[in-house]
Amino acid sequence: MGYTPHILVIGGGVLGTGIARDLAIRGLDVTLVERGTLATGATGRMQGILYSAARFADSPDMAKLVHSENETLREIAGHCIEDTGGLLVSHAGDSDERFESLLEGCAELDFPVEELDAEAVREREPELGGDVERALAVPDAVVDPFRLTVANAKGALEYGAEIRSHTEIIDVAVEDGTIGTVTVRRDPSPTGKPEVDDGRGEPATDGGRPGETGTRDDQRGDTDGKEVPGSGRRGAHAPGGLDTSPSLPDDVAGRFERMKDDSLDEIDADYVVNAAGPWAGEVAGLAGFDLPLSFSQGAMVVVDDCPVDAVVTRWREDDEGNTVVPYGTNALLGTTHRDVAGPHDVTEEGAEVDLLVDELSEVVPAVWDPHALRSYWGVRSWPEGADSEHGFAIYDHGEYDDCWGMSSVLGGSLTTHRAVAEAVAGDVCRKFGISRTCRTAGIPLPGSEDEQILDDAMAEFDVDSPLVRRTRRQPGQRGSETFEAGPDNPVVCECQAVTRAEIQDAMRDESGTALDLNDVRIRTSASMGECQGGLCAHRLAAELYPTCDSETTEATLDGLLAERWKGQRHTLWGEGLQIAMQNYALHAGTMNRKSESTVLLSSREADVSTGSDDQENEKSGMSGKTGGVSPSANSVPLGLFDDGGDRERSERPMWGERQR
Amino acid sequence: MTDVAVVGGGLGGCMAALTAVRDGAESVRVVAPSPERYRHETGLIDVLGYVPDRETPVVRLSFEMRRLPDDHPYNLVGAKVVDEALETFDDLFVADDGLPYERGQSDRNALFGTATGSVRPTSRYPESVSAGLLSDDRPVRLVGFEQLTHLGATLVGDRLAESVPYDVAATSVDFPMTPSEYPPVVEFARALDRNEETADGTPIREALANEIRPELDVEPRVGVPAVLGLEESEAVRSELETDLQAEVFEIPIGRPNLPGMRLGRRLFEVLEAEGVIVDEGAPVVGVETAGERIENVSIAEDGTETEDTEQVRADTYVLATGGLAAGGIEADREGVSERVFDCHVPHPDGRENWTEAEPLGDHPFVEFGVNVDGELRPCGPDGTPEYDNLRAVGRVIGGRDFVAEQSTGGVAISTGYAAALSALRDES
Repeated sequence: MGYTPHILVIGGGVLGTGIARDLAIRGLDVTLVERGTLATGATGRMQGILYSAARFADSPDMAKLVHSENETLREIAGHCIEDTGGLLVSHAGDSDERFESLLEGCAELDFPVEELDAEAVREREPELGGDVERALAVPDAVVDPFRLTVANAKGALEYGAEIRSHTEIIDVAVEDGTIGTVTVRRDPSPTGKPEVDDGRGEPATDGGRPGETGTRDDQRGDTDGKEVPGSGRRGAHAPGGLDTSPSLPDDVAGRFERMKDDSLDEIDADYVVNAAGPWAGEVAGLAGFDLPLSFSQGAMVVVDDCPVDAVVTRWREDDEGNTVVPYGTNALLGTTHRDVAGPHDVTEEGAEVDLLVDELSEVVPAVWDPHALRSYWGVRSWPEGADSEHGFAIYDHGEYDDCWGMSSVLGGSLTTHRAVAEAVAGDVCRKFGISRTCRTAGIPLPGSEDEQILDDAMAEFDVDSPLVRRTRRQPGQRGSETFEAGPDNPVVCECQAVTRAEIQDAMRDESGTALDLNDVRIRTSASMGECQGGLCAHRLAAELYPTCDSETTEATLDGLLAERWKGQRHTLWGEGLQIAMQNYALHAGTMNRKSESTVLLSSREADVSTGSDDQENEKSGMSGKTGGVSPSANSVPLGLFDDGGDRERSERPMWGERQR
Repeated sequence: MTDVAVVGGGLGGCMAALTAVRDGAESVRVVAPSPERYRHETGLIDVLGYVPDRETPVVRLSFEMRRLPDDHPYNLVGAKVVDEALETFDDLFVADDGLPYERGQSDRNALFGTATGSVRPTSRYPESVSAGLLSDDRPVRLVGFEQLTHLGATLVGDRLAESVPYDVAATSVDFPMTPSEYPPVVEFARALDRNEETADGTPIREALANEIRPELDVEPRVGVPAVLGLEESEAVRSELETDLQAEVFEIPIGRPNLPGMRLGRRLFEVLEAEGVIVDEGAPVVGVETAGERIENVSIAEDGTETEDTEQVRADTYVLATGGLAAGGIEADREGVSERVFDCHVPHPDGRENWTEAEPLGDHPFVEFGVNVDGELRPCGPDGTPEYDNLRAVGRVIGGRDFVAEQSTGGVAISTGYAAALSALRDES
């Protein structure tokens, strides 16, 4: 019986999970660690397009790769792809030469494309602008990157890999020119979720030995279903920076938590694959290595309607602001390319939003009518000096840094990730003299036959896709009857028609420990409509009560509103700004959430703490009061204010007169 | 020929029209009012809730107004005019048959609980909320409705209990009808107005009292979400009070805000009774000017210029279209403008400078609006009036966060009143 190498894969994006799946299928022991939840890094913040090869017709090698991967993914991951098709459109005045060379390139490579004249284009996409002269229909598609990543992870699990999310690499030891022990820290309570396996997925095993099937988010070892008291607390991760353990100061509580949690763990793998995408340089840095990576940031704008059916791309030299992606009931405008120094160097600026709206309102004038809801930024990385941002390279630290035991993957893309994973896994196998071939292109991803398997895996890894939720809530789908508004099930978020039952369903996953409204939002899409939470965020928060105490409820409300605001800030004009002002008036005015909270003291309490009554306006910061309400700088004596004394109290019912 | 044409019909516009017609203008017209605006109004009249550098609410209004800067609308019109204006409002609505307002001890703020359980100062308030005064130390029972998620009664009750030195209890009951739409705010109110029969034949007011009664303990006052009727609100509430043998009050819950809608309806009834012409729903589609004067504004039913377009000629015009929230101030990606007369609206260059990072930060956009001189005339960048015969009232005036200051109602009333007086002075 031969020796099975244990491979540690770092990074839970589409690429890392793809590599883990490939290695696991080839029979290696695989552990994948991801700092946050799966697909929340670069993977979840891109446009989500499955590219057609036509786009790369001028570089035949890349075109062939994209061509075969586009077809392969449709075969093995059709359930994560919406086959919208794509149009590469050319406007009057756009370079004919460029369009012709696109046609020639496709012909040479024998790619199936269809040329459309202006009339035919408009027949397919009536909302396209008047300047469209012709277009090429190409097999672009929209990928749900969250589901694809989880499907990969589930595929890896099925072949015995271990997937550990919320687990961050904090040290990579180098001993005698070899990668040694990797130290990880499991986030003790990433978003306040219960820390034990709840039986939804595969059974957790005894300590995550390589080769054992395990789905554990953690390394605690207490898999008997009992929860360690306090372990569900959110700690320093509470929105608004509020510590939710009320009795201990932040630092003390944090230290206590760490001692108790034993959250550090060591992994001794035979080989390490660093697939942390834009963050790969940071991981390599822990071992003391540099990576030759280039980075750019890209802005995307979400608009409140979807004027196109296909992925529409204006085909011209300048590729900034040229794509409209149909994304459920929204459209996504993308994207920009601004060089940055690294993933922490992203700066969000309104100018990029303006560019997207300006450029794309020429392509689809209707993007101008629905208002821009939000904007967000993603960061991409590719090997320094590569021809295109889609290139990739395997950077073997044995070769470049004289240190055996680790390779970093540079670049790669959503469309090509499987092929990149194949190359990486092949390279690793060669290092161990293993000659098994790649089988990932022939095995459908979990959920292909029965989508429920993928739905369950999404829950298991606690990943939610906004795109899927919308389709799942279509009539006839699972859960739609229970979630429908009715006499006993009121609507909490009108824009998105999210009901109390849905909110409670989203909360129940959390087993009643600390809850986070942002999780509820992702699961239900509540607060993601036109008002961006202005009309419903506080109502969502009220649904958490009394499961959460009022302090936690308030903190998580602040967290939700802060998250909503971050996305809104750069798209505020026209109707969006009007709604923002209405929201401000409601929250700062009607609900008085901006001012410091006021505590009222009874007349007796006020008398104890203050002397005379002249300068009544100056004595609001008194202390020394007794009674049920804690004294604070915001205390004011109730007796100073209008007590309705002018009203005719004699007409009021007297105490004790009530009849039953 | 019209003496005064008021463009927009919010609280400030209505006050301007009423003041003008009562103080001698022969013909007053309100053009392009949007009743929609009142769905956003709480119906509570805030005069001054907070002043700079103090976290606690203002107690005495006249005392604290002195702390406001010279260019605050209150100081532009003067303390005396502010007093007169508020008195005028009080005379209209205190003990009004249709919509009684309270002014309590009029120079002292009153405190109320909000739909999120905060404490909030206000100055004048409809009788329907008055039993909810927090500055009254009797115990309170809040009763939410299961079908209405706008008021999470137990959360609000518990939060208020942390803020007041007496008992606040809270429960939720079923509102005794099945909503056909969400949110059912207006639907509930209509059913109570008409006292419709519920499924078992009980009139709905009685059925509601039957739901609430078992929840009551010793509390002498009961707070419910503000859905107690639109046209018959006083009758609805009084019947509930009799049935429950307790005072009943409403808690404003945000859009649609019934107490605000009631105020809007009542204001327009009063306008009509005073002989003010109201051109409902016809937006302004054009403005003609000659030199420093506005000659006329054109209004059209469907909002586009056609043969039906009517020209309204007036000696003076009052701009009362509201701020960003009401659409009187508009922004595109490049800049900010005033919608009807294109008056100058100061604003920082670059959209990134319009907001702050915190959702309820001190956003510059909140202060977008026109600058006015001592006569409330909108001014250009050089500080001189844009037009001799145009005055601005209410939220279209910028330069200050009236929302956080909790002064929107008082500013609307004072500037509306002052603008009318100033316009009439001009004429004579």
